[in-house]
Amino acid sequence: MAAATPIIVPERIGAARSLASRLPELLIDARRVAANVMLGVHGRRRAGPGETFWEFRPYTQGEPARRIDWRRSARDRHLYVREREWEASQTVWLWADLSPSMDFRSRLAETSKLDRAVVLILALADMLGRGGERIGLPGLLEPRIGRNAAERFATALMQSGAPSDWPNLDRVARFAEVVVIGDFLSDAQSMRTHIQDLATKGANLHLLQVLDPAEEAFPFEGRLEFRDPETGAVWTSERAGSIRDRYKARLGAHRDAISEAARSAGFSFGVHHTDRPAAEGLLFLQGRLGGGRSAIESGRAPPEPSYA
Amino acid sequence: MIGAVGFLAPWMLAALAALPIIWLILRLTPPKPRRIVFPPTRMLFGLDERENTPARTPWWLTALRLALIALLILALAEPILRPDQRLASGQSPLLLVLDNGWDTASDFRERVAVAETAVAEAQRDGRPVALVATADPRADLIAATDAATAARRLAAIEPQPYLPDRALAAERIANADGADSMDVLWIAGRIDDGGAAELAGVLDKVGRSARLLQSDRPGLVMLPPENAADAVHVPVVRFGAATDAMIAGFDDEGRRIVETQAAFADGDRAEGLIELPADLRNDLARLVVSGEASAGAVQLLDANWRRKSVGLVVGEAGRRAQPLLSPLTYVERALEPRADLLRPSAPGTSASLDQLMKAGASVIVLTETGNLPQETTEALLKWIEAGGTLVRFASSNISGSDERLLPVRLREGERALGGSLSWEEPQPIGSFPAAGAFGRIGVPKDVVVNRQVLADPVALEEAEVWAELRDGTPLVTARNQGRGRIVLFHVTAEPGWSNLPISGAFVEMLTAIVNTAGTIETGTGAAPRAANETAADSQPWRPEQVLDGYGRLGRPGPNAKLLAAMADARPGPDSPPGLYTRAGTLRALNAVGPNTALAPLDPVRLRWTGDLGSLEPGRAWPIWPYLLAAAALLAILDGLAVLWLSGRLVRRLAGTAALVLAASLLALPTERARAQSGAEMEAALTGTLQTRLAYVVTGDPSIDDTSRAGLEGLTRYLASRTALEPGEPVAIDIGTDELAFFSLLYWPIDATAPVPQPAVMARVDAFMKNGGTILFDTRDAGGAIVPGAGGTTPETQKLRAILAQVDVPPLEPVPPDHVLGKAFYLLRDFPGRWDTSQLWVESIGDTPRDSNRPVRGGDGVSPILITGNDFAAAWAIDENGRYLYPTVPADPRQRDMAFRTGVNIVMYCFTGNYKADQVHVPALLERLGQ
Repeated sequence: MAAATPIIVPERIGAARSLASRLPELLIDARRVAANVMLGVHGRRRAGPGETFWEFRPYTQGEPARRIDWRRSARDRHLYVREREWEASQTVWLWADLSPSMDFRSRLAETSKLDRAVVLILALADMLGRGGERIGLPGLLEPRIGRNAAERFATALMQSGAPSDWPNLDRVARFAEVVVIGDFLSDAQSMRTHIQDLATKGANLHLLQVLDPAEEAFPFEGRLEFRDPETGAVWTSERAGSIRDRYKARLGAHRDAISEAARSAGFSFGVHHTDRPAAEGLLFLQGRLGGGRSAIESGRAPPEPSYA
Repeated sequence: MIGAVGFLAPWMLAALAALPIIWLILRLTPPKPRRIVFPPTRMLFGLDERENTPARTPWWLTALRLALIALLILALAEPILRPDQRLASGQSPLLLVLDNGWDTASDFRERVAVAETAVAEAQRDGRPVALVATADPRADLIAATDAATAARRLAAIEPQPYLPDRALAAERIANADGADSMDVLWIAGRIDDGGAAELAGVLDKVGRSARLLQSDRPGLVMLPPENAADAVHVPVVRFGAATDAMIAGFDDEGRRIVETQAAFADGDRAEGLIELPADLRNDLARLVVSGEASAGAVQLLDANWRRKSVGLVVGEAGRRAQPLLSPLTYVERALEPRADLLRPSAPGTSASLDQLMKAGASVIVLTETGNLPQETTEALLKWIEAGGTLVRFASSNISGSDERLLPVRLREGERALGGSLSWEEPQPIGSFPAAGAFGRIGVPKDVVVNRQVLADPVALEEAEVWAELRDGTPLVTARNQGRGRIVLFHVTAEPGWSNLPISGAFVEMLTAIVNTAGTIETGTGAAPRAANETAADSQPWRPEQVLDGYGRLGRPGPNAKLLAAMADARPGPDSPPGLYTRAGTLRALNAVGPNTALAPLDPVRLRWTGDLGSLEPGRAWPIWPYLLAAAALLAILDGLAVLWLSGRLVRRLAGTAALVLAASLLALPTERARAQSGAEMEAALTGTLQTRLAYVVTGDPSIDDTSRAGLEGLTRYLASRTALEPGEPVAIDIGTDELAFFSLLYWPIDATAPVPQPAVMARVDAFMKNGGTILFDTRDAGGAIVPGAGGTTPETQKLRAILAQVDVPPLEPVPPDHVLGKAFYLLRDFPGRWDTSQLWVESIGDTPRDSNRPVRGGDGVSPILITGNDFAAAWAIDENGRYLYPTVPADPRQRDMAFRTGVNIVMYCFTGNYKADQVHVPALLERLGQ
């Protein structure tokens, strides 16, 4: 089913572009990345290695003399050192689950989960690219800086091979931000393992679960035969309406398990439904990648799985 | 008795035994579940085993389906409901007497159906059946046979085009069967032409029980029509309660040329009048009572009935060499279109007259003749007694004629009026007395008589005066003699004595004489034209076409024989009614002749003592269609139930389905035809009664007003410069209005209007494919329609969006030799309000460019014309005729050129490429050698 539909179609890049254009450039909060010396193109609002003028400060003894800004110092009797703004960039890995289970759309939603996930990834890539961050696709693209991130991602996603439901995160280094968008319907134990692996690497993970409203509400009645698009497993129900509550409880438990695993590792977890605007999902991710970090870092209780 | 249900195919009921097996299968096969793809299916696994057990079909669904199958089986067994009226009761062999003359043809199917029922009953009882078809000529099939044989024979019986000879049938039955040996069922016809009483008596005697069935359906019979001077009178006789008869007249190629109504006021006889000019009347070949399929409702008309043959004889004194001076030139010319003219070949007046009388002339015109030999006179008198009409013209030697051949005794000599030696003025015609044959002719004002022969006033009382001069002296006199008459014109047949022969009234007078002339009795006068072929008299008449019982003409069957004489022929097995021919002469023998007895067959008059019955009741009433309908209903219910069980039956859908079902059940017997709405009709009339220019409404009032004003301006220009005078322009809503009435649509492009729906564009496409032309005007002064030539205007983009949905042929700017530049004016460019845009037409590039041909047209008219010059604005005028928009540049010549462009476009659309054909004229003329 997924093979029949090309993952990247021009419409999705366009949709992602228009979505991203509505939000400001996404700047990663870089306070934690002191050791990261990689140069970026945007200032960190503090003095450091960079090209843009930041401030003049008086020369202190012991500094190399070549730092003195002679032109400024010539104007009075003090020696001044020209400080430049610290320009650095963060590494962000973006990944979307492209497995067949994502290619699902019920009558309640306008788009499929796959569509939405790709749009979110591309929009995020575009925003981050404009912000000068280094962004990469695990297993497909090395992190690079560039404003054409959406196109690069689109091309790379087009060439991606057999879809899996979890990325290969071997190359993720410490302090990197990882964004994973998917439906996370595989069993909770494997999810927990993945999350713990990443936590030991010291990377920071943001999970966004994209679900169809039908998967959430289970609006089925009567005699039905359910088929799993990935495994092909079939399950028949005589009166589908009668199992709705039990299904909902089970789905909730599954989500709670993943959410709890993410919380304990200090990662963020959000839920997004395809009948909602894509901007909601993007806003969630922006909040987590940008300013939302401080809340977690400051040791406050992790938020409940927020519904974006 | 009522309510007895029988099965036509009772063995089908055995299938009911299979019901328990079907019940088992149905129980075990639950309805198929709906399959959906659901990614979190793995969450469902093991959710609840209780729900996962295979369900059984609910008992009521099983019951529903079993009922459905039982109904189907019952329906296939073809049950019928019989109000069980046994037609053939008793135990003796059944004697079935079926009248099959033409009087039974109109409801023969019902008669046969009743007979079949009776035979089937006899078959069930195992009784032999003797079947007698009274009009059937075969006598050997009267013995009782088994019922199956009788049923086979019954299927082959057809109504015959003559009345049955019941006396013969009675004789045969009396010979074949003993007294009280049979049970008799007589399915009787309507008409008794004698013999019915005899048959009734025999049947009474033979039958142990006897029943007579008669039809309640009314019947109509047409009698021989009478060809009177004013109209054809068609008498119609009814049997039963027929209301009106519609009489239709057909010509010899089967075309219906006239219709008339014969209304029964009181009594059973009515008359239809067919008023037709004499020559059209002659085209009548067949008169039929519409809707009555019976040989008795048809009258074949032959040449004898239709056209009078007129013999022309000029006496010795008038024989001259010059044809235009021949005394009968004017009579010939007057009668040629209306009658068969016979010109004798024999020398001498007497021989000519003999020849004509033998040839069957019903009118003889005689002029320049005085006395005739005695035997010729006697022969003529005999001929007149038999119905001949002798028309004589005065001549100087007429006074020597035998008085018996003149309508009135004449005075010696003739009277000259207005001569140099006379005081009297030439006399005009005074009147045509109403009693005479000329009563309906208007009195001509321009006829003057200079010379005439005078009737003896004393003798005038014996004769009728058909025309007289103003002074009261007779101009035309006539006298009936026997069945014929003698008519005398008191002037000559050529314009020597008066200008009557060269006046229009002369034609009418002669026509009236011929139309009122009688005919010679059939058989005596009917002879070939060439009188020397007397051998033909002894030849028999050969049937050419014969009527069948239903009144249809067809090839003669094997029973039809040659007829020795037509005169005494009666329709019968050997001489079926139809058209008979002998040596080129065609005569008709009709099922109903003037002497046919048409008494209704009345059981009371026959002193019938047996049972009486009617054909109509006693029909079996089939039940199985209702069973099938019920089964279909159950099938629909079953479908709904399955939908409901599988959860696919949304409540709203269910409601809709129920409504549709109820509506379709209710709507079954109602009429669906609905009259076209008045507005639609009016629009259609507006579009078709006058040629009109039409424009497409864009919805933008300013554009639409301009279009309207522009087309009005063009309409006026067309009316003043060309032969085309179109009506008011029409606004067309491209989505709803009918386009077929217009050949040219002006379509200004509004950049803000939405692109029409695909369905609408499909109509536009069909319009263009079927020969319509659309003139698209982007009104943007030529904002680059060619792709790639720089930026495009919004109008052009809109036009592209519109045209993307239709099949556009390849386009090119109008080439210099295109017929569009030559359709009316010679034009090189096609300006409108602007002159910067080109006019694009369908490319005719593949038409070979011939240096000798200044014009190329291509095939047909380009379905599409595109311009950006804003034609409508250039043409637009207000009600005072002032132009609404200046042209750019403001050049009066450009305005004129814009109008000329419009004229050329309209002419091109309306006349096609004929201008391109005109250039071939020199070549054609050269080829013709001129």
